[in-house]
Parts: sequence; C-alpha cells; structure tokens
Amino acid sequence: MKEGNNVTAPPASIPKPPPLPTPRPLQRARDAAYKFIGYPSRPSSPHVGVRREALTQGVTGKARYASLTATQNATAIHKTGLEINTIAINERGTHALLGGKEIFKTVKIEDGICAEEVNLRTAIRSTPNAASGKPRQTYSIDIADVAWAKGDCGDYVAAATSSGKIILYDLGHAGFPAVQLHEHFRQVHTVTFNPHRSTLLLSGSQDGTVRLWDLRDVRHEANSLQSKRKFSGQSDGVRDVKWSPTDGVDFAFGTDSGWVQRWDMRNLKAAKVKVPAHTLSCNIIDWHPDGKHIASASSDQFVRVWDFSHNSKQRALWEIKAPHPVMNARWRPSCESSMPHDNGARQCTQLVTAYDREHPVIHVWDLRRPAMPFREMAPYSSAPTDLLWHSQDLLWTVGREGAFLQSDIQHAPKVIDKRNLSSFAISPEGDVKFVTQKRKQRRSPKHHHPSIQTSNNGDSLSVSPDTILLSRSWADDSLDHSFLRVAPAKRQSRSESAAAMDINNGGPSMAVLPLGVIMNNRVSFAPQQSMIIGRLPYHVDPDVFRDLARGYTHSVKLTSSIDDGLLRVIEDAFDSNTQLIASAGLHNRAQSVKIVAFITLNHLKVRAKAQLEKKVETHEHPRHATGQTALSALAVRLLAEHSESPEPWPPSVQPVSTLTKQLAAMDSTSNVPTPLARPVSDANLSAAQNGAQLPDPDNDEQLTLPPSLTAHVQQVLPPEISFFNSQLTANNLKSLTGTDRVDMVRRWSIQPKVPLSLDPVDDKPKLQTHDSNESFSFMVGSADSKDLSSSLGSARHASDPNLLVVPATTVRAGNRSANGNTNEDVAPPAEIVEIRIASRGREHADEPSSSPRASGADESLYSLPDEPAQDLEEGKPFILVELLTELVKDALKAGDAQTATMLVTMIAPLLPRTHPLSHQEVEDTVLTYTDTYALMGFLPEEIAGVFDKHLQHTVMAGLQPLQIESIMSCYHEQLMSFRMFTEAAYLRKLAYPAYPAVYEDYMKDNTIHLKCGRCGKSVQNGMARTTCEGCSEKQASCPVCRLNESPYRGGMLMSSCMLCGHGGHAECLRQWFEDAKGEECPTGCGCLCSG
Amino acid sequence: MRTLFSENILSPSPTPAPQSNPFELLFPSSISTASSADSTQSSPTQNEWLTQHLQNQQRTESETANQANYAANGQQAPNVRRKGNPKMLFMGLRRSGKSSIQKVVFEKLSPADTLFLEPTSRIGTVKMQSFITFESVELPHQLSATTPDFDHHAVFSHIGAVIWVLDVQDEYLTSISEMIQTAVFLAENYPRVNFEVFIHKTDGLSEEYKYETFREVRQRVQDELSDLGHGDRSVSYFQTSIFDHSIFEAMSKVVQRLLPQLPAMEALLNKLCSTCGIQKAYLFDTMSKIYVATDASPTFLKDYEVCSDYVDVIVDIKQIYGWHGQDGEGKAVSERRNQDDGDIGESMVTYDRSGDTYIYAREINDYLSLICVMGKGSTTNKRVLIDYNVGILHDALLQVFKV
Repeated sequence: MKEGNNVTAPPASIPKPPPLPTPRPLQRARDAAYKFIGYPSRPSSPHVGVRREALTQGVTGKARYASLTATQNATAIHKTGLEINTIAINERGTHALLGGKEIFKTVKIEDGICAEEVNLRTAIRSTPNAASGKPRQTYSIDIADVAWAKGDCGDYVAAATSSGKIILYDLGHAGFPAVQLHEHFRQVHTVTFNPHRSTLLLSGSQDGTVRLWDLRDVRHEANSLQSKRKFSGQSDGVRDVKWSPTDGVDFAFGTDSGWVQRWDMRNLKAAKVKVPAHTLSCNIIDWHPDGKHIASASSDQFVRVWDFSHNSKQRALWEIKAPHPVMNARWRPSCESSMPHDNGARQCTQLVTAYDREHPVIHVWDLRRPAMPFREMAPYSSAPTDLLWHSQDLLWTVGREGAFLQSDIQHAPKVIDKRNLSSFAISPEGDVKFVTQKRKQRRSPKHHHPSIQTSNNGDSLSVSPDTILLSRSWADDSLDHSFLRVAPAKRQSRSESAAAMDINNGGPSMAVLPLGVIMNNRVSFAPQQSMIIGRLPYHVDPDVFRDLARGYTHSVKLTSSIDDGLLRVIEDAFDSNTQLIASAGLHNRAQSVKIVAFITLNHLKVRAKAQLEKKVETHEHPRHATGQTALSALAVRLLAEHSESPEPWPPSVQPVSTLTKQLAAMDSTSNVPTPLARPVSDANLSAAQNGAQLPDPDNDEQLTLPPSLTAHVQQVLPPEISFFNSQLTANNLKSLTGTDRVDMVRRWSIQPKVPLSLDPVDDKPKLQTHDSNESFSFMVGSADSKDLSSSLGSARHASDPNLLVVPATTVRAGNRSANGNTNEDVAPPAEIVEIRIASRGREHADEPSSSPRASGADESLYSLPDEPAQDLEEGKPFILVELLTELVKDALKAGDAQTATMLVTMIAPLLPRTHPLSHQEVEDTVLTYTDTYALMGFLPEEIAGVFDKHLQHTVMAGLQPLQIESIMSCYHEQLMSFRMFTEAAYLRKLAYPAYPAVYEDYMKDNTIHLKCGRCGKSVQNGMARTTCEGCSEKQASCPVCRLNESPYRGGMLMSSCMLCGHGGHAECLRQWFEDAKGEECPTGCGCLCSG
Repeated sequence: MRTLFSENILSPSPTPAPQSNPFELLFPSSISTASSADSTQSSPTQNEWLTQHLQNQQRTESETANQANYAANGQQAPNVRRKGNPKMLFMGLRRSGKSSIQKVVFEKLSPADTLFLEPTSRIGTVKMQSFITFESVELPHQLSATTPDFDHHAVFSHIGAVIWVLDVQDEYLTSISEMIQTAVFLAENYPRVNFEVFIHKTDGLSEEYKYETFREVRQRVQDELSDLGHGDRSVSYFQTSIFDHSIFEAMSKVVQRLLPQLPAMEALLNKLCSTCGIQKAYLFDTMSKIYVATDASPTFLKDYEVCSDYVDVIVDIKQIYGWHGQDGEGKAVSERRNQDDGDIGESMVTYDRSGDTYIYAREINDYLSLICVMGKGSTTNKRVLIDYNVGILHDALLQVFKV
C-alpha cells in the first residue's frame, strides 16, 4: 500500500505532465482496488453473449468474464493467412490486436464471431505521407510484440519491432504513428503498459536494457520522446517484462541467461530481487495475481514459481517439468476457491504453457498436481506464437498459420481422461503395488460442476438449483475427482486462513488467495486413489527365500557304487534340507521332501543290494547302457548332418537336413533316426562313399520296427542291447589306448553308434545268443559317467597296447561291415563274440584298477551309476521319477522354482535309468540341445561328451532336460534379483555345461579387475600400469625382491596373504617361507602368514 | 521483388564503425522521420519541458554517478574501447582448465589430449588468425590480479574480457572468493572490461546437480558482489565443457560482446530470418567455429550443434581443397553459380527425413560463413528469394566490416 501511495504521488524525477487527465474518483481508492481483482458477485446472468466488463465497475484489475452457458463452446476463429507473432487484448476484452511481419490489425470478438475492425497496416500503407507531409519511407516493420494501453489511454497501442524501435499508434488516427521510441539499439522483445497507470510503458530489449517511457509526453514531444528510465546491467537480452499486478511501481523481467529480477522503477541502481532461475534463456515470466509469486518459463523445460516478495536466497517454490522447451506461459485467471473456509475467495493455481515450434501442443497445468498436465490441446500444426487469457475459460492464441483462435478451455480434453487410471509395479523382491482410481463418469458439462459441488459440500457453495440454463460455474474446474479431489480434508489452520482473509479487507472475499495458502494445503487435494501393497501371489517371502537359498544342499558327492557312506551322505543332505524347510515354517513342503527322501533312500538301498548281488554272482564288466550311447550318437549324427554336405545321402534317408526343418517336421516318420550309426571317423574319411553305399531304402522298410534305441529299450529286452553295448565299449576302450589322443576322442564318440547299428533287432535267433552273454554286461562304474580324461586314464591301465590295436581294427571292420550289410547277413555277431573274448582277457587285467578308476571318476560323477536294465521299482507303489515329476509340478504350481530346483538337483542324479522319455521326445530334446550347443560353439566331441555325461542320465531317468533347464534358469533369475550372487554362481556351476539357459548370459562379460588396496576402487587399466586411477597410488612392489619380476623365475605371478593383505611374487614368497624359513610376513607387519 | 532491405539501405553511410550510433545506418528512415517530425511540431511548452527534462536527467545522473559512469562507458563502448581485436584474458585456479580451453578453441587440440597439458607458469598469449583475429591471454594462477607489485596496466588495459574459469568438479568455494576479489578489482579499476565466468567441466555431472551448482554459484557471486556494492555489475555465467559444443557457444557469446558490429549484424540477420522463413541464422567465423552473430530468436543448443558440425565439415573439405574459393568448393551438396562478383560458395544439407528443414550455408568470405537452419515453408522453390536476400546480406556484411 505504500507503493500504491507512491504511485499517486510520483517521484520527483518524473515531470509533472501538463495534460494529465483528471483522475477518476475510483483511482483515489486505488489502494484497495489494487488488492482485489474480481467481482463482488459471481456472474450468474444467463444471458448469452452479454459480457460483463470489469471496466464498468471501475476496477483496474484484469478480471474479465465471458458469460457463457455451461454447455456453450465459445470457440471462435479468425483466419488471416499471415503469420501472426503476437497478440494483445484491450482492457474490456472485446478486441484483440494482432501483430506480425505483415499484419497489424485489431479484431473484434463478439459472440464467437470475429470481425476485423481497424487494419493498421493498410492504414499506414495507404497514407503516402508522414505526418510531417514528407513522403513516407516504405519499409516493412516486423512486429515482435504489441501492447494495448489501458484506462484512459485505451486508444493507444504500442508495437515493438525487431529493429529496436517502439512505435505507438493512436487507433483513432491509424495512419500515422503517434510516436516512435527509438533508444534500444537491438531488437525489442517486449512492451507492456502499466495496469495501474496506463501512461507508463516498459520495454525490454536484446541490448540488455529495460526502458521506461511516459506517454503523457507523447502529444507534445512526439518526435523526441526519450525514456524516463533505463534499467541496465544485464549482459543478456531481456526476454520478457511484466508489471506487478499489485504494486504499481514494481516490475519483473527475465533475461536470456536465465535471471529473473524484480525492480522498483524508482530505484535505478539495483534490483530488489535477483534470482538465477534457469540455466537457459528465460523466455517468459508471469506474475501470479497475488503479486508475490512469479512463474518463469525457460528453454530448459522448466516452469518455476518463485516467491519474489522478499530478497533472500531461495529455491523455486514449485516447479513443473514440461515436456519441451517452454516458450510461453500464463497464469490462468483466478477462479473461486471451493474451500468453504475461503469464503469464496479467488484462487489461481493453473497456468498454460506453449512450447517451441516443433511442439504444437498447449498444456494447462495445475500446480497442485504438477506431474501431469490438466488439459491439453493442439489448435495449430505448429506451436502458437503468443497466447493470453481472455477470461477464466477463454484462451486466445495466435499462430504462424495466421489464425487467431479463441478456445474454450472447458472443452479441451483432460489429459487424465486419456491415461490409464490404474497402474502396478512389481519389485524384484516380489512386492507388488497397485494403485487405482475411480474414473469419473463422463457427463455433459452442464451437470458437471454443480453436481460435484452440491454432492460434496453443498454447505459451502450456493449453487442455484436450476441446472439447465445455468451459467458456467467459475469454480475450480480441476477439482473433478479424477484430476484433483474436492475435499476439505485438512483443516487449514486458523491463523493461516485468517491471514488470507486479512488481505481482502477491501471487499468480501474477492481477493486472490496467495499461492502459498493454496499450495501448502495441497495434501487435501490429492485425488482419491486406492492402493494395494502386498506380496505377489505365488511369491515366496524374501527372507525365507534367502534363507533357503543359502542353506539348501543341491548336490552330494556321488561315488561310483552305492555304499553306506554314500547313503549316509545323501541322507544327511536330505535331512538338512528338510530341517531347513521346516525351520522356515513350511511344514508341508518339509513333509513331502522327507517322503521323497525316504523313498529315494529306500530305492538306493534296494539298488545297492541288487548291485551287490550282481557283483557276487558274476564278475561284471563295465558296460554301457543303450540310451547313453544313443543320445550322444544321435547328437553327433545330427551334427554331422547339419554340418556336412548331405548330398550323398539319398533323400529318403535324409529328408531333412537342417535342424530347424527337423524341428518343424516333428512327427514325420523320416525323422526317425536311422539305425545306421556311422562312426564319425568313417564319415569324415569317406562320408560320400560310405553314405552312398548304404542301402537306405532297405533301411526304411526294415526299420518300421522301433528303430530308436529308447523305444527299443522299452519294448525289446534291454539285456541284448546292453550286451552289445558292453562289448563294444570294452573294445573301444581298448582301442583307444592304442591311438593318439585325438583319435581316442573320436573313437569315444564313435562307440555309441554301435548299438544303433543293431539290425539284429528283428533277428530272434541272434537275440538268443546275446541273451546268453548278458552276464557280461554289467558294470557299475559306467564309463559314461566319467569324463574323457578319466576314461582315458582308466584305459591306460590296459596291459598290452599291441594286443589292443588288433581288436580295434576288427571292431572297426566289424562296424563297417555291420553298417554296410545291415540287412544282408548276420555276420557281425560272430565277430562280436570274438572281440568279446579278447576283451574278457583285458577285463581281468583291468580288475585291480577298477577302484582307482572309480575314485578318479568321483569328481566328475554327475549321476549315480545304475543298471538301466533292471527296474527295481517294479511293483512299488511309487515310481521315483513319477513322484519327482509330480512334486516338481506341484512346486511349480506354487511358483516355487527354488524347491523344484532343489528336488531336481538332489534326486535326478540318483534316479534309475529305467523310465526313459519317449522316443519322439528324446529326439526332439537332443535336436534342441545339439542345436544350442553347436550355436554356442561347442565342438562335436564336446557335444557328445555333454550328452554322455549330463543329459544321458536325465533323459534315461525320464526327466525332460528342457524342463529342468527352465526351472533352474528361473531359480537363477530369482537368485540374481535377490542379489545372491554366490548362490547363483553355484547354481551356474551345477548347470554347466548341460543347461546353457542358466549360465549363458553370465559367461560373456565376466572381467576381473584388480582392486586398489588403498581406495578400494577397481584398477581399470589392469596390470598394464601399476598406478590406481582412483587415488594415483602406486602398486606396492614385491617386499622380497622389489623387482618387477621375481628373480626366482616364477615371472610376475603374485600372491598375497589373506590375513594381512600383503603379498609378493609367489616364487619369492615361496623362497621366503620355505627356503628361508621365514614365519612372519616379509613386510614385517607381524602377521604369521605361513601359520 | 520486395526484399528485406531497400536498395539504398547502405548508401547514406556505408561504414558503421566510426559512427556514434552504428545501428542508425541500417534504419535511416527512423532518423529522417524523427527529425522531420521534430521540425514540424515544436512549441514553447515543449522547449520548456525539454530543459526541464534535461535538468532532471542531469540530476539523475549525478545521483547515480557511479553507475551512470559505467553505463555511459557501456554505451559508448563500441566507439571507444577495443580498437583492435577482441582480446580475452583467462584466469582461474590452477588446473581449472584455462589452457585446455585455449588449446581446444584456438589451437584445435583434441579435447582428450588436454589431459596431458603441463601447468602453465607464465603469461602466455594465443592468437588465432581468422576472420576476426582473436587474441587470448592466460594468466597463471600464481599471478593474482590484486597483488600490488603486479603490473595491472600492462595486462588489463588492452583486455576486452576477463574470463574466470571455475572448475565445478573441484572445491569451488576458494575459486569463488578469488573470483570475487578479481571482479571487484576490475570493477574498480577497469570498469570497461567485461567479466565472464565459465563454470567449467560440467560434463559428467547430472542435470540436477548441474543446475544446482550453476544456480548456487550464480546466486553466491551475485550476493557477494551486491554486498560489496557492485551488484549492478553484469557478470555473465556459462556452463562449459571442452567435450561438447558448450565451450564454443560460451566463447561465441564472449566474443560477441566485444564486437561493435554486433547490433548491425544481428539486425541484418533478424531481417533475413523473418523474410526468408529461416529458423535460426548464424554467422560463423569458419576457422574457430565461433559465431560472431545470430538473430534474436531464442537459441537452442541443438541448432548450434548442428550448424557447428556442419562448419566442421566445411572446414575439413576446405583443408583438402584449399581455403580460397577459386578452385571450387568441394562440398557435400554444392551448387555453384556465377554471379557478377564471381564465385559463390554455398551448400545445403538436409538432416530431417521429411526434408522440410535443411541447413543452408553460404560463404561471406573465406573466413566468414552464414549458416541457416531453414524452417518449414522455405522450400527450395523459394530459393530465388533466399538467394537474392542472402546476396544483399552478403554485401551489407562486407560493408559493415569494411573499415
């Protein structure tokens, strides 16, 4: 109010203007008038098209009302076709002034009809002479901003041009510029008239100055009017200047470098408040109607609201993160507060933003919910160049397309209506949060506001009961229950609201509430939302999960034969798991694990017994089960088919050459594996000739009988096959010893093929003979469960290499002949018998080495050896595999990959190989895996090895490896999401190499970094440079030799003590501790490293 | 054809620099109308008022003597100060990146190589001979401006701008206090020297943090300066990093403030933009990638980056085919036309899939290029208009710089 007085008595420096119009009576009451903007009563007039202008009331506020009926859409458009840069409105709100490079005119807007009124540009151009009578120079003016004076100067308009001139026009004498103000020497960005004293004009320019002009001098000094004041001191252009709506002498501007400053026009020296608001150029500022707050919008995509009523260091009170660089922003005219205790005072929390030229959308934001726009519209194809609010609901925009548009914001779509009102998220630990909100029923706007208000707080708002021709409610339209809620939930503190009331001492509840009063009560406006927080169904408790993951025993060390020790180990493992589960409170699960453990153990005992008996009865020879050979053989064959040229193969035999095709043609009979198992070596050597020789058509005909081994195993008596297997295995083993390593590997992978060449399947007599030889083929430490090296090692025990070479060749010969004459003769058995004898001799020689072999195989045992031929579970109530499958299924139903993994990893190796998968399934599985392994770059030999060691048993035991793989990878993912990396690594180790899905993703980018001992950061450059980038500490040298390389050979290999952390060259340390008998750390730290 | 400039625009006074008010040459109409109006409407009351007004003005000036002093200086600056080339002085704490900036901007050192620069111990001068000869001096940290035995006059008297480099990744509070000392010293002794602050090494900082520190530094310096009575002094702040275009943009703005021809060039570009539907026009010093002027529309770093990259391309090709246009400009999409005044180097490139927006480059002379980001609607069929207007701009610019 002090400032207000000062306005009426201007500072001495401003000359007394001679022709000052007589002050109107109401100006004397300006003190009060400044403070309220608005009307004593809400416009309830139902008359359409009648505007109630603020001016008729003599209030010098900005409040204008367009009386619109609730359903009316007051959108109006005026097309000019010329690019419009800027728009201004006269005080009465009836006319718009459009300015642009080629346009400068006023438009009258009434009842949604726009009509051009004064075309200043044509008037100027049609006036050939300047006011002086001299010929007017023709040049185009590029108008950057226009302003329309208020009050008694209402005929004057000002246009800022890019050349730095400000031209004033009197609309009554449109042809002549009233005056040109030319002191800015760079582009003028903005001009604005003081809302309280309309003779004061401010202009802001690129040259970094703001100038104040007094138009009272115009009539006399028209040609040499000089600015009254110059506010300089900015290094950058002034983008926007605005007078304060409440203080007549204050104004604010924003600059190109992002400063927003508030100045008092009487003080030239320094700004009252100066805030570095933005990092990029501040394109526009706008005063909140309360006169305290300023919204500033910038190219850095922020709209920030500042409190400019005090000069202290401050941050933005509120900010809106806009989606694009903001070029324009304006507060929406205030509306009635719907808080009952505000007594119908006015509030203003919304503003409209427009963006840079690529983004044509216009948003209306509400600071009470700044995360998303309230309404949205895109009237033009590019962004509007300027906009202003005519009244609370009517927004005027102009654009590059040359259209002036009056849009009714009530008809702009709400953003929230396009959004999903419910959302959920799941945390890695299995928490789920779900938020939803009731969507408001779409109603026609006429029922819209009254219904809400009456239903919610009929006590506070006096809405007239007639609804049909009701004039539009001027209440807060964002309180619609979906965007914001009407709920006086939190009582405002008395003092606060009393303070709010104090301001409007002039009139009853017509002042604008300070923004802070509304905003600090924001909580109560949160829309009503329901939220669910909880655990995912089927998701285990994270603590339990962690505990179990840490505690579970997943595997036991298997031995080649079932003895008491092994049984005890297994029992202990199961016991600890059961206890663990029980301690987690999962008694159900504990019980089932207990049962399955019991059955497993029983089964193992039975097996042990059977095994013992067999051993006692006959001196068994280790032999191969049929299936295991089958799988690797199948895989190798598939690989060979895949990689080698299939040309020599008759189409009937090899109808599908690629795996994908095979997969596609799952059930075609041609997919059936031919019993022709070509040894890989043969294939390599003479794939063409060998293949060509094969009487394949015959094969096809002949092998309509179960051609696959697995099927064979099930249907035909297993012993025969196993007999063949064992025979051939033994032979191969021997032959392996005679050849070099590569050859051995190859041979190893050949061996499985032999059973495939079992043509005698349909040869009854032969089967008989084999039957008699059955006794041969029992073996406990089956070679398949060992890796290559161990089997090679065992093979080395063979006494006489020379002797063994011969059988090898014969076997090969036999194989070939078998292959060649598949159906022609029955010769092979004889040979095989022969070989068997030879092998028998070897077997005896081998006897003592069986135990070392077994122990050597221990480490690499992936499954418990067993006798697939003998189904020990016959007649039992539970088949172990089926039990396991059911349990896994049950666990998976509950989403419990953890238990499923535990069961599978524990029991699968112990399963008997008596219930193999169906033939078709096996084939598909093998196909898939062969493909995968091949893609991963495994060599054919390695693939065969993997099949032998890992998948063979699983498949033969009746478990689907694909299922196990997916279970394990699921569990692995869970472990990773729980950040249990050790357990995950252990699981990967279990899965390697059979189940690529588990470990695949974690094989690639494992890197090892050294950790700096001082700062703890990883040393990125590795060993190349011995300094740490983090702390630039040099790596300590070896305390023994202090050299780069150890003098005791050893090279640069370092080792360190886990206790004291000191280290040195491994070789040096060895010297120190062993030879020099040092006990303490060589650095002398006193650590007894060696002890 | 109606174009943005009347043909006689340059005739009244073709050389702007010696004039007291350089912009007047561009808009002679304003002077004439103003003077003519003056002659017609003069009245005794008005004269009375005039004297009154003058008295008032004098009073105001005496009131704010201090400030008016600066203001006057600033106003006359284009005439008085800096007869020669724009000269910049880099100051800042050690290892704040002064030498790096110099090397990267003026010597085209690769930013990554600045890691190996030795600390500077002596006052070093770097000169870049291009369209405008830039001269930059680096003051090593141990030489403080405020020490009494230091020959201020030798250093500061010829300087157009002092650039304080502040390492934002370091502890910057000490730097701020030294900076304020220097700023105060300059404000008191050399008020005509622009003071600029580079908040340097902002690469690698998060947006949030960047804004916070930027705001913090600005607010702090501003507060302290106003406490010391120099709150009116304009200090500009720039966030810079040698690893992106921000250092060039900041240097451009520093250089622009030292150029007396800036308003003229800016006005020319403004006109050109509004006539030809150009989104953004830059006048590049081709060698240094510094733009000496742009139009007044809001700048976006994106535009500058695109143009600057394009200048890089032009420079690269020029390095291959020579700087002088006689052998032809072997540019990406080049069109060569013959005009009266000889060959014109111009080229354009589209970077938008729709082809609506494209960049148009035109050589003003060997070391000055006009790069425009064309907006929608200024398609190639308007080329005649564009070419004509750019031709006029070309001539006008040459006139502007013909001293």
